[in-house]
Amino acid sequence: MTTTKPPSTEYHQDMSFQPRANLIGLWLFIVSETFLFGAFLAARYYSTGTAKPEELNQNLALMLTIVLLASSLSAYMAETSIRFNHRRNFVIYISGTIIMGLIFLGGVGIELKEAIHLYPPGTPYGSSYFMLIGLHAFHVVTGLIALGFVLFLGLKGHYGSDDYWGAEGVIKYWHFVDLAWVIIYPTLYLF
Amino acid sequence: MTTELVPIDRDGMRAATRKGLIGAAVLAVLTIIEYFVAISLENPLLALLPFVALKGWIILDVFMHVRQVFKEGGH
Repeated sequence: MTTTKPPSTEYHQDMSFQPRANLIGLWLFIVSETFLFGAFLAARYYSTGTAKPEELNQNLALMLTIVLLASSLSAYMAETSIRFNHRRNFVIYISGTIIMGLIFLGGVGIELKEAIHLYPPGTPYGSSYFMLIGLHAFHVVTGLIALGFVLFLGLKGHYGSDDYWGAEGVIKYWHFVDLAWVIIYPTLYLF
Repeated sequence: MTTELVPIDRDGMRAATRKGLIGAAVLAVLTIIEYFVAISLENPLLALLPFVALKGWIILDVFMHVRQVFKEGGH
């Protein structure tokens, strides 16, 4: 009678490949998200070219861009803090990122309130505008929920310099949300 | 749950912090220049593309560490 384990069991016990698999999996997800945003960006150029209404609130859009970039810096600082085991700074920076994300969402709410009267969703520019802003805002909301979980776990003492993938993955997603805005902002407001 | 106290590598943290701050400062400056270029040109599409590309690359490289993906065992 043989006592060796089946190969599949041995494969699952070897977890040394897992961090690499996590990283590749996250980047594949980000690439798939890029295609999603790319489709809506292409729709904007296809339907209206680079034409845009005069009434766009440029100052508010610039402020929102700065807030989102600042939130990305804060997220980066949170990741750096936990990588070097500075737990207190990690919690502070994650909280800062969440607050700036909420400010961004508030600004988007003001924008949408103005936009619904100036260029309603039924117009060619309005449909592109509301789809792109709405899709991005949805990603901001999901990012904030994920950051909320990371903050909660961080406060409970999770994560450390040798085990912070959960935080790193969410922070990478948040940077992707920022990256998407870097392209959406000129597409809707500047070109 | 991590409960033991681990010493903080202050030099490493300082270097990483400096890298992030420089990246964010460059992003902020590019965003402001991009805005003024956009409002001062009639058709700014081509003039703004380098700004978008550069800002995107800074986020990918400095903040998202995209180069990890291409390194053997890069995590």
